Amino acid sequence: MDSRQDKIDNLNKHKALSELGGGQKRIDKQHANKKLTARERINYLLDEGSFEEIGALVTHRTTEFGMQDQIYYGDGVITGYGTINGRLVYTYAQDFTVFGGSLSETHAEKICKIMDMAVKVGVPIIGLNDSGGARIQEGVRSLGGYADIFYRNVQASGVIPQISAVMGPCAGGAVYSPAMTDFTIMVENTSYMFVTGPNVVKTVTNEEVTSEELGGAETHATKSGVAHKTSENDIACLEDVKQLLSYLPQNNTETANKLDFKLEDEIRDVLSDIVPESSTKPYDMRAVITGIIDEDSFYEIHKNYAESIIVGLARLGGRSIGIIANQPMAYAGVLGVNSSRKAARFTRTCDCFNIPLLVLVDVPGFLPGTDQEWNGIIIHGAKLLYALSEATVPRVTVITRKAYGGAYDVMNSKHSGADYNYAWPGAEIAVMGAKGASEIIFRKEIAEAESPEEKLAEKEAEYAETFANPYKAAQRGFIDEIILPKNTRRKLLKTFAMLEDKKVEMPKRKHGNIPL
Amino acid sequence: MDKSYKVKVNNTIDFNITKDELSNLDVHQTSENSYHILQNNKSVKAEITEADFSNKTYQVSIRNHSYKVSISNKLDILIKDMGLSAKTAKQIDFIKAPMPGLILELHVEAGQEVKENDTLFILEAMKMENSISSPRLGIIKSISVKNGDAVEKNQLLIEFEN
Repeated sequence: MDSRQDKIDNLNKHKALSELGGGQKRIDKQHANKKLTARERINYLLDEGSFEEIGALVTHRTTEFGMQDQIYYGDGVITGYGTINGRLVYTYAQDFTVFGGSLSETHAEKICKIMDMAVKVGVPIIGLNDSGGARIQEGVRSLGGYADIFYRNVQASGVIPQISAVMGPCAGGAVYSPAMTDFTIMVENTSYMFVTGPNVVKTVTNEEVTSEELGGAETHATKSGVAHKTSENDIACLEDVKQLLSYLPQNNTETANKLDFKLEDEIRDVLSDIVPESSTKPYDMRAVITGIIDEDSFYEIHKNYAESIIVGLARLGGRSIGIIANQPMAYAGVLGVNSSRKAARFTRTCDCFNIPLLVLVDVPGFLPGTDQEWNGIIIHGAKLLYALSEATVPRVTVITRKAYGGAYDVMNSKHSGADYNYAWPGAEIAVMGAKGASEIIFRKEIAEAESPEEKLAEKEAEYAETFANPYKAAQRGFIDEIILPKNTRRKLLKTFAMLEDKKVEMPKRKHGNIPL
Repeated sequence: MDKSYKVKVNNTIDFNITKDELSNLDVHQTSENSYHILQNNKSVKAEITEADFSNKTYQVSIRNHSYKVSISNKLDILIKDMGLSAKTAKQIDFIKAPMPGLILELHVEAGQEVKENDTLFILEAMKMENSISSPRLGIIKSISVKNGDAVEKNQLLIEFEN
């Protein structure tokens, strides 16, 4: 019979083994690759000393291919809970030092266990991914493990915030878990995501491509939009996760933390000079955003993807808000396939977590052309229209300059259910630009005129005078108030405070049918 | 996690202290930022005058002397050794076309020194005249386009001297 001390020593021995993951040699290799280990990442992410590990002594059950002789405690993933700035979160970190972080049946069971707990308790879950893929020695059991996670991602979607950090390889089926979470942040140069790797790509399509090109952080941040954000290294990534979390509530029944804020005069003169006099001169909508929101509070999402629209989280008077804004500096701020999808996805993310929306409008219309039409701009534009119309969070619009055509309707117009619609005095709200409109309305008159060019200019001026302003819309009540740019922040502070308790009852239905 | 801390005082004195040693210290908190410590039969009063939790540095005042104390655990030291940090400024050496368009006016030439936010060129795209400004202070090494050139998205336009 062991003495009591022997039992304690035995437990400590097991724990120490578990702490070491795949062993010192592999830990050193992880460090040499500029990557922290799973345990180090968790310790950095969470408040010091707050991590409580669940299932440290789990091992796999595989006996095929000599696996029974290779047993590591934890089985390649560290799971548990802790706090981030005092807020409870569940987290898991895949351990690349154990079987390359590959996913076994038991590895998946550990993740599923804490996902279930996170939903029950109603707190966010943060996944730190670093895995070579399925544990191929396990065959379909491993695949089943992935699907168990995917299923839970879907069940938890819109209930608790789910954040994925991709901090190493994430290939094959594994990519679908981050894809179904609310946010995916990738570490530059050390992470990649793809459904099939460069070797398979070469065999099947004869295309030669590197991992980085195919699915590196930059690729997904600029070309595919899979990554919401990229970070320079592990530490920057974990800091980005922490900051992102600060804008989100614990679950869909709560609102995000509101920071203390004392209302002062809140006039921002800097907003007065941003929009140029000439309507062919673009300006940086980010300057408008920073002029409106609390200092240094903008957390931009999809910064380098579909740049003609800007989306991100921010604070206004300490309150967490989501911002959607056309960017005149990129493609004149037009709505295209990707920019519509980007903004639609963001709208739904904010709506399910009770984050009010501010929409800043300077949009000349939808992007024309076969490329856009053939890629389904109708369907994708409809996504944004649908998502905004469906959103029940407080929705406020400011038209800073152009709001033309169908894009006027789509960009959180009064008609789509927006709560409060402002326009700046220089706003142009019309079906189309003055030149195009006059060419159609006065086609005959212009053709018959002695000098068609002069006639066109005359009619163009007439149309512009009639419609290139916000007054027609204000007369109809489509615009609630025309405000001076410098008063925008002050007005918005009051509007969002007024809308705080907005409630909308939706008709009973299984779910709407957004044009996916 | 390793339960020992490395403590640096005024960047001159270094010592390590373990969690066990800490819990064996005879310390009483007397107010929000003040502590009373009994060590080797001597009584010491210490006050924390400044605290930076994210960098784990503290200004501690003892008998009218102020000491800068920075504390790091094993992970902090590892991160520093690996050269990781959350904020590193990336230097931009290349200006690429942000979208397809036409170079309307070049405002700079090779060899010229520019300041941050100086206009580099005007790019006409989607009927808009986009003014592209310099992201940093620097000297233009080369310009690979001229007025009137049509450019593709991401085409290299201007290179800075390193």
